[in-house]
Amino acid sequence: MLEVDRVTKRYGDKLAVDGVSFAARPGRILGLLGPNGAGKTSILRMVTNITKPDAGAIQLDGAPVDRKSQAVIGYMPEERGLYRRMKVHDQLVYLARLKGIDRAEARRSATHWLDALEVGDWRNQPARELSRGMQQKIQFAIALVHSPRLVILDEPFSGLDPINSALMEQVIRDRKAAGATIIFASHRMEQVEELCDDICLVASGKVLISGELAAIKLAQGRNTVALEFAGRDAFLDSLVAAGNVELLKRDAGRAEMRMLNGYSAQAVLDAAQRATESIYRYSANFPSLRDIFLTAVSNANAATEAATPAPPASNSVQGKPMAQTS
Amino acid sequence: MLGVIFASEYQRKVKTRTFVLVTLLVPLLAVGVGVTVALVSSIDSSTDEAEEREIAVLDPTGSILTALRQADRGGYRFVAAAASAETAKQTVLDGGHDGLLAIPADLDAGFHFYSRQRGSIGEQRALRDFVLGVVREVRLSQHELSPQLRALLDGRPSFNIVRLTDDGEDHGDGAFVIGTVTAMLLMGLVVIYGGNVMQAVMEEKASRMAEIVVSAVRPFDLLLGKILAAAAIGATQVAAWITLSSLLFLAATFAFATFGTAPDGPSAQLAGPAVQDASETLDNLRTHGLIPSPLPVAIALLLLPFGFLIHASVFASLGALYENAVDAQNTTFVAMIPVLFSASIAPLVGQMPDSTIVAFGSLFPFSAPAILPARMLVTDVPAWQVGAGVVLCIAGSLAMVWLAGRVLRGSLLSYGKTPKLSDLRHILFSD
Repeated sequence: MLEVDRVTKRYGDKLAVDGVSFAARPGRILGLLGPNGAGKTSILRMVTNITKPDAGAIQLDGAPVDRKSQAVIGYMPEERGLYRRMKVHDQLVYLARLKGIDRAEARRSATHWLDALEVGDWRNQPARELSRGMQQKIQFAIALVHSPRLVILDEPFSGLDPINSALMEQVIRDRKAAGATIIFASHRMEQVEELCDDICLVASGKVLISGELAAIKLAQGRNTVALEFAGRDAFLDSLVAAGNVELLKRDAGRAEMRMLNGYSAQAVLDAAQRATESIYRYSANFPSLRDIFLTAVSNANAATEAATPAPPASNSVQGKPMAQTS
Repeated sequence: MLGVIFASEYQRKVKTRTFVLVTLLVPLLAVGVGVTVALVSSIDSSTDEAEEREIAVLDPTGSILTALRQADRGGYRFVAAAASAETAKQTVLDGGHDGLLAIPADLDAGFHFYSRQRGSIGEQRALRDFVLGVVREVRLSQHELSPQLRALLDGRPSFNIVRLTDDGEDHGDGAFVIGTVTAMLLMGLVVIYGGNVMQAVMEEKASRMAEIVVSAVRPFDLLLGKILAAAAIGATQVAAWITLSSLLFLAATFAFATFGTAPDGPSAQLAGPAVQDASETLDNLRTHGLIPSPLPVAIALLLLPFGFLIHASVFASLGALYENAVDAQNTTFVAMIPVLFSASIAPLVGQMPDSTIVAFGSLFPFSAPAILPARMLVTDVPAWQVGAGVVLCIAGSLAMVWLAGRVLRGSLLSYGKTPKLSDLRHILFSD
């Protein structure tokens, strides 16, 4: 189990990580989410013991993260590459050996992972001769070759085609089933939503939401409504003008909205029945992770703006405080 | 971990086509150039031999020309010149004679030799020494000298400087040899292979592998492994060069001996005494100076690898700071400053071994590998200074590798950016 406890990291004048706490448990996948510059990479570098926190503590299985724990961590950073001239199999063996695996075991494991990721035929090719997608699978294999207890994947799917994405997703699920703790940092909400059991959402170096994904959704309630209808859609404008809903999507005869200020989904249905000719589909849903992410980040930004003196001409929006669950 | 990094780095570089090519081509080129020069000069000398040079001699004394003919140096034929100097010079210009030797009436005045080609410095000296030697003999023979006086005039006693030490007498003058050899070796290694270290570190960063590697090992281990591998690669290459060159040289010598002619023209003959002098000097050095006391040699051998380590760390830091080869190349002068510092102190060791600058040079970790052993050969260096020099050098070089590791780790935070001076503080001091 990985426990990050009130960790702070500063680079010069910039506070990159500000009192961040979260936990990642064995046999589960934690999604580390956040906009660009939120501090995700800074957190991961401290977890992998590349840098040290200025304050706070990081523990892996009860012991502080140090040089020894590096051997049981697999890391696929966002800024990654391969030795261009080195043969693929040799790269895996080299990096496994750096993690303390003996030569014979490193060779065996390298062959296993190359086959598992369907790049075994290229084992004796130098990396520069591989396509980008194949190189990405090798980088993924590097993170797994020493059978780590904690696997950290920073944007592992970026630029990958759906077939290879699915292959990698399956491998991640297998590692989870085998009891590994997995941290998955990404911007791709639908993938995080599919894969992750827990999430930790950070922005501006602070944790906005953290906890079990299902519980977080439940806490938000079925606060979105999807409608398909025939007829005029002016009733939507009235709902928005009254401050009852916020439109998430709007097409001809189709809309998705989030309830505001305790407005009920039933009231939306009633308004639609009154104003439209017929309703083909109506559903009240839990918010998507994307919505949770966007709302949390925009609320946090609004709170920051409200806290700092605003310039005279600005149109600051009053943010709604976001509940933290854990 | 260090062993894994070292082995991987070494194998990766040694197996490259460039390494194999350079390792094989350099001895081929060196011996090839040598053989070509020897062949060309043997052709020259055989041509020269066929055409014996005719030197006209203007001899108002009437005795020197005869003496020159009797001395018979070979390669030259001395003939009497036409009546006037001007006519004789014209004859030389017209190709009638190969040269004109004008002997002054007063033998204490200046001698002049005119020819269309100046000839090599060796030839000029050999001719001068030969002519002046003959003139000296002629002038001495005009006086009745006792054999004792003659021996006195011909004698060339030696003058030896012996340093008294607690261990006995030290005839050695190996300071220059050790100091210069160590300094040159270090400079050569640093210039050639320091650049390789920079390249290797830059590659690690540019290939975006550095972050993955330092999530497994300390940056210190990564850089130490890379620098040691660069040193081992250098040692391998130099050893291969020496072995291959020696084999090729032996083969070339054998081929010359079997099929060719050895250069044996007048220039070679004239150069004879000079060559003899040089080998005598070498003999002198061999018996007196080239076998210095063992402690300075041991210290030189001990500090040489650390000397490479400390200089290579500067290159490694530059490689860690930059991703762009051009940016990095533009700053290599920074890495050369400490090398030039050692090189500029080295000549002072013999002249003023106890001066503050030389004492400083023998303690300063960057210059100690070259200066400390050399200084120990010239003067009595207090034991504490020897100890301090060695400890400072070893500690300094490890500290420099550590510092380069900080730079590498810090610079991971600024992928794709050229670092500014103001970033350096964060790079070095943030954890």
